[in-house]
Amino acid sequence: MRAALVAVGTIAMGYGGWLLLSTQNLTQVGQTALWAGAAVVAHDLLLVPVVLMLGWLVRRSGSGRPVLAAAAVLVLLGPVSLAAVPVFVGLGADPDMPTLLSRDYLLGWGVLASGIVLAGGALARSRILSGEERGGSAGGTDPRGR
Amino acid sequence: MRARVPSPDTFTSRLHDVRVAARVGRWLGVCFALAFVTGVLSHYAQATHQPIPLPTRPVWGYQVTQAVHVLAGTAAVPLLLVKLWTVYPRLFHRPSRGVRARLLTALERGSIALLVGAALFEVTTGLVNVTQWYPWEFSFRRAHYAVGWTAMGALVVHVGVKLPVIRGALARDLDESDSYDDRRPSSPLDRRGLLRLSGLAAAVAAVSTAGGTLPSIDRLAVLSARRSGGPQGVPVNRTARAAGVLAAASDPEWVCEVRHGDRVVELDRAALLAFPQHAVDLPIACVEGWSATGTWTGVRLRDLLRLVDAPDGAEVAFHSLQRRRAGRFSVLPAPFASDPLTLVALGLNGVPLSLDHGFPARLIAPNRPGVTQTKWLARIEVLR
Repeated sequence: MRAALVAVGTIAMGYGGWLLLSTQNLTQVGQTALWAGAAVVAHDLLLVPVVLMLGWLVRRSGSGRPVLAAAAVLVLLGPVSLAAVPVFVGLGADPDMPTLLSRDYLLGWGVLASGIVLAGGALARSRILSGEERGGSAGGTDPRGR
Repeated sequence: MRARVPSPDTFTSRLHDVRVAARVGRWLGVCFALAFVTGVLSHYAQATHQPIPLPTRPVWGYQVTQAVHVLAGTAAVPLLLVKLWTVYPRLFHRPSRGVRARLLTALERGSIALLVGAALFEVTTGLVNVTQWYPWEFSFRRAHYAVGWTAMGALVVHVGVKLPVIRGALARDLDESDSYDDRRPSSPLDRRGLLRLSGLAAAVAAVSTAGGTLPSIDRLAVLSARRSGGPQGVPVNRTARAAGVLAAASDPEWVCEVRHGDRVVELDRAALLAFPQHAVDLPIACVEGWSATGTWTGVRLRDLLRLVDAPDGAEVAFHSLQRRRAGRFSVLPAPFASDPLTLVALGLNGVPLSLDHGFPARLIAPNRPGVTQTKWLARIEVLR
């Protein structure tokens, strides 16, 4: 089973590489690799350290439900805000294309963020996110504190 | 003071856990598989020759598959970020001593780097394609397709390599404490909670960012690059001005040439309007993340093909007045060419086509990608 998966996956990877090399010139292939590499570097050296730092700050600033609510807001709002960077910045905006990027994105984000903050507070009060709230150990109760 | 290189033990959260990674990875795998299959279908549908033509029904087939592609790809963003965050400490794991162990580690890390690079490339380029921003020299369509195969292949290799670990992680209860937990402080958010938040985050991202792909959830898509409606009730992917066809499409001398070998017929708009007119309700869907259904009126393509004695089962090429960029040319497979719903459209939703929707005449066919519904027709050519 494992060998079959590795073999099938390797063939698919090879096909993808062949497709890229056979349809794009060297400059285009180089740019493709550059974008993929830059995405990895930006993720590993910038995004994750920032998220870890935010998590650390949240933990340092309090405990219990407020921390739980902040964590919920971070997980729910962070990725969607990142995915919406192209519309916030207006990448691709063109006066000749009036039906592209035609919403008020600041307002939209504000409405979404408000909803997520309210939802984060409600989730923190529920038993959905925390073993402590559920009364179990759930990878959440510190044995050293028992 | 010397900066310390982190080790896996530097990261003390109990959420950096293989059980969370395996479960989020399972959802991520589903999203990637859906995006991959629908992406392959879309790529095939845009091919200028289909050895086995796709079916003409259901008429909304492409509308659904491109919606699944965009929604699954966008839902993958939070899942990918959470998955990579949970396994981030592994990045600082030092391999065992010995040449063989180091070589195996290097191979495994190389394949993971390829997987992560390809996955991030796919979601990043997919997101900016929706806003039609192309700050690179490679062809988006070809590179996104090729790297999609690489990403899917690397994912399958990764699953193959990690299968025993994945099975073990999925078999263990998320709530179960272990000796590893005992060395780490408690967290208000537990593993089950993070998993639930990840699923919710995927739904929030898909609906609010990519919901514009389905008119039924468009109102919730506050961060979508498109919105439902537009001129004549349908969004415009490229205006006549952006396509550089304003003058040619407005020219009163415009004619559409229908050609089969030596047989050529030229028809102006009045001649096209003199044919029996038909009205069809068909969706138009674009993988840039929007779709809309309109009532199109015009001439059945097969009525025009009879003028030049086109044989049954011939493919038909459509040339636009547009001279550059995608959409200037398409080939319609034979079953679509003879379909009664395929029109050379002259009107949309009760009024003549606007310039931006393809005036004087455009192609509209069932179950086809929007980019192949050629606008501003200049020539219709029967192929062998």
